[in-house]
Amino acid sequence: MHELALAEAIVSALVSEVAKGQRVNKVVVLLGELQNLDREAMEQYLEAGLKEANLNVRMEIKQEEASFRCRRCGASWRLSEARISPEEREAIHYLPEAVYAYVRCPSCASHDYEVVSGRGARVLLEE
Amino acid sequence: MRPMMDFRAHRVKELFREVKTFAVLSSKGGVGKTTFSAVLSMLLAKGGAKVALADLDLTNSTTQLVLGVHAEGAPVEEGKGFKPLNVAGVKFVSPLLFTRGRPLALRGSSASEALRELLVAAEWGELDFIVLDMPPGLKDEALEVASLGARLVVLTTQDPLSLHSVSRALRFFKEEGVEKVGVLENMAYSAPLLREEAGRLGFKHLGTIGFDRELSAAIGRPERMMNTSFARDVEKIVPSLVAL
Repeated sequence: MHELALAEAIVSALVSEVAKGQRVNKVVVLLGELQNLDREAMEQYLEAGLKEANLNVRMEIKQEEASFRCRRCGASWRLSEARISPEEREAIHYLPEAVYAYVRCPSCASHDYEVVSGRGARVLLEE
Repeated sequence: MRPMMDFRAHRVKELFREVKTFAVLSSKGGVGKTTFSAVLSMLLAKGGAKVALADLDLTNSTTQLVLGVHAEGAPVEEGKGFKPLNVAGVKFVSPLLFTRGRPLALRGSSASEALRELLVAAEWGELDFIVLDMPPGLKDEALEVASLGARLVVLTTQDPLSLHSVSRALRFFKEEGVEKVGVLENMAYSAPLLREEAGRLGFKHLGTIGFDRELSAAIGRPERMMNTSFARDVEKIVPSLVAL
């Protein structure tokens, strides 16, 4: 599963941070709505990965809403307002930037917008 | 709370450390990066190596045309990530697998994000080499792969515009402290023109590839491409390139 590849990459980066002497007490994994990662799967793979790496940290997973802003006309909208087919959702799941191929600004129909929030997985650390 | 380092950049750096990775790039377009990348990949695979080829020209993907594969319509098979297509013995990845041939325009950091995501999400398996077909220019993608540890294969033609442009790029990489850089002259009609400059900068000049009139007609037919004088010239530089 794609989630396994990402979870392993997160754990590997965390191991590297700790090895560099960073004190990490808690890890917050934000799952951006756009990438539509399976929360349960991420939790399972991350917990297993942290255990295998012998990292004793608290972990919290949060969802982050996806939102966009058009660079042409300034309109803002949320992912929930965009019409995306299941096949397109699947493509965006692997490559979030594919969204620019499928979704257009609901106001001016431009492809030139930015993903303001909720692109994909990102990690915050608490020392 | 503070952001952790980008875990995808970290993973890509690991990948480039584990597997010898060649980023084929040029500040100029139309010098033959895509054709060279494809033929190089197929030659390495023909020699028994496990090879991956990633089309990182995200907004102008054409590697699939050279390989003769309809990436836009290929089903994406999920594994631990997604499985690359197997084309002529090469594990091939293209953004077209996810954009389905629709136009894709990316600004700035979106290109870097997409590049990292593609390389992390692919289930590569065991590899000996990775070849990255890069977009033209000294922009986000070039900066990204250079900073993540890829070996750079800087391609140029012997056209004065390309030579001037690439010369400037080489000086940039030198200033950036990039060490593993090879310079290659394609569609060559004379002796190497950048050998001295490459040497002065501490970079390796890999040689020249002659202009092949038959190459165009072979595009899209991997077997025919491997029987061109272009492929024979690329084969001659492979030992020097893999030693980079």
